[in-house]
Amino acid sequence: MEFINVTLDLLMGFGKTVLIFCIVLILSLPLGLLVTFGSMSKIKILKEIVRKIVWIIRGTPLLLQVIIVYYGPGLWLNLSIRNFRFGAVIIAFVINYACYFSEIYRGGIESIAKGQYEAGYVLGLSKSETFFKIIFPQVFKRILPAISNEIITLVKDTSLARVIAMEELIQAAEEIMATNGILWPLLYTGVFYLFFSAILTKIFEKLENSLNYYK
Amino acid sequence: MSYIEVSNFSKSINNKFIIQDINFKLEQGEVLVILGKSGAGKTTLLRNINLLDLPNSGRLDIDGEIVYNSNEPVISNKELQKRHKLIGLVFQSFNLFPQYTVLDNVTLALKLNNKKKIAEYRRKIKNRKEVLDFSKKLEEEVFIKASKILNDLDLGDKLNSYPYQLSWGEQQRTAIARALILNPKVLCFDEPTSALDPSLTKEVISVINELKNKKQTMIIITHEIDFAMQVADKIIVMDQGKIIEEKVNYHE
Ligand SMILES: Nc1ncnc2c1ncn2[C@@H]1O[C@H](COP(=O)(O)OP(=O)(O)O)[C@@H](O)[C@H]1O
Ligand SMILES: [Mg+2]
Repeated sequence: MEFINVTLDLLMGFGKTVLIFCIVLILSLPLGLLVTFGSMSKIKILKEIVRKIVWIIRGTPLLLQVIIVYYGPGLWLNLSIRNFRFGAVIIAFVINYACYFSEIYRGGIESIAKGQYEAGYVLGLSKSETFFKIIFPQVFKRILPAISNEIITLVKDTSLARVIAMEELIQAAEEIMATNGILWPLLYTGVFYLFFSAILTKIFEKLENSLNYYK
Repeated sequence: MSYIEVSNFSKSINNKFIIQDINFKLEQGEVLVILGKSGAGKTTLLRNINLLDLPNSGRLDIDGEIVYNSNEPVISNKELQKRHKLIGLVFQSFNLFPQYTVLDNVTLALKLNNKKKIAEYRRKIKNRKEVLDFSKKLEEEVFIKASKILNDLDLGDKLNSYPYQLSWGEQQRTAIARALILNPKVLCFDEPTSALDPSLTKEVISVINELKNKKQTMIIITHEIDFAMQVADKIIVMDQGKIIEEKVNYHE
């Protein structure tokens, strides 16, 4: 099989990979903040439940979570959802990444001095104004390196989707291998991942530099 | 009735009184200095006057309004926000917002206020251009007000600096400007001269005296008697959460 054909086939898989990546990011970044609010809530029971969930999600493999979300409804609820592959991957990934992000957010929020909140309150700012105008921008700057790491990990984690035969990049390569008896397309996928991570790394570098205007 | 009346303020934490039965009165334009050694409860008193903490018991009246009354039902967050604006505070460590310039630190509160005003105006008046003009006008007013305050505090050339680029004194004056822009009925300072060299203390005294000339009512915490004697109209001395001495300071 020719290089150009392999490339085109892999590009199809890569498209799916990028799609998973984008949707998961867009949903999990804000959901993570909600999880953080839950895990820092003054309502004790809410806080405990959210922290337990985060603990379980972070303590078990994402691979397993994908399998449970995909097969769970059929096995335990007798639900058969058609074309659920993509949905299952998105749900499992979004929950998993939201939990990871929430811990990063929480660390960042807890690192901001109490005086910053109080400075907001004595100016008559509301709690949400204080959080979004004063606290969060500082948190964002502090956690950006950790968030970037997590996001780069997500690029590679997308390959776990193939456990439920989702047509992502690695799956595409394996199909080519199986039908053509060649190994190199699998190795070739590495180039796609590298390329993607390299772009993201550049973007994060730029973003971090753009926040260097204050200390 | 006096301009400011603090009556029977008490605050306890873990069943232990941190401040107990504090009473004092202050007239408009006067400067009250609270003296006392470390741990006397000065900061706690100031935090309670600022409603950062709420006293367990007591009442605070400012300019004929009840700002806090422990016998009243719980204050809503919105109401608390409004009352916070009546009382300015310059923190011991300033707590400037590092991500904002001097100008933005000072204007943030008013800008957020104006956002609400503009939203309200938009609901009433559907004409886009009018709303735009209105918001431009407000923005200009904020800028003019902030510039005036900052110029008066000798920060006219620092509008676009970030807090980390400022000297200690400039940071303090930025914090003062940030509080002043809300026209607080009373401006509070927690240890404005702590751990400084004498030249900086002189600078603080001159800033405070200038505010005093403008009839700004102030409450200032310090443990330096010399400083207190130079700026105070009234002095109260605290120890173990109580006022142990109260005197009028006559300037020659
Ligand atoms: N949140 C708190 N919890 C427990 N103790 C406190 C708290 N705030 C203040 N205190 C205690 O109350 C006393 C007075 O503190 P503070 O008001 O900071 O005094 P000052 O400002 O005069 O030095 C100190 O002994 C301090 O340890
Ligand atoms: Mg103190």
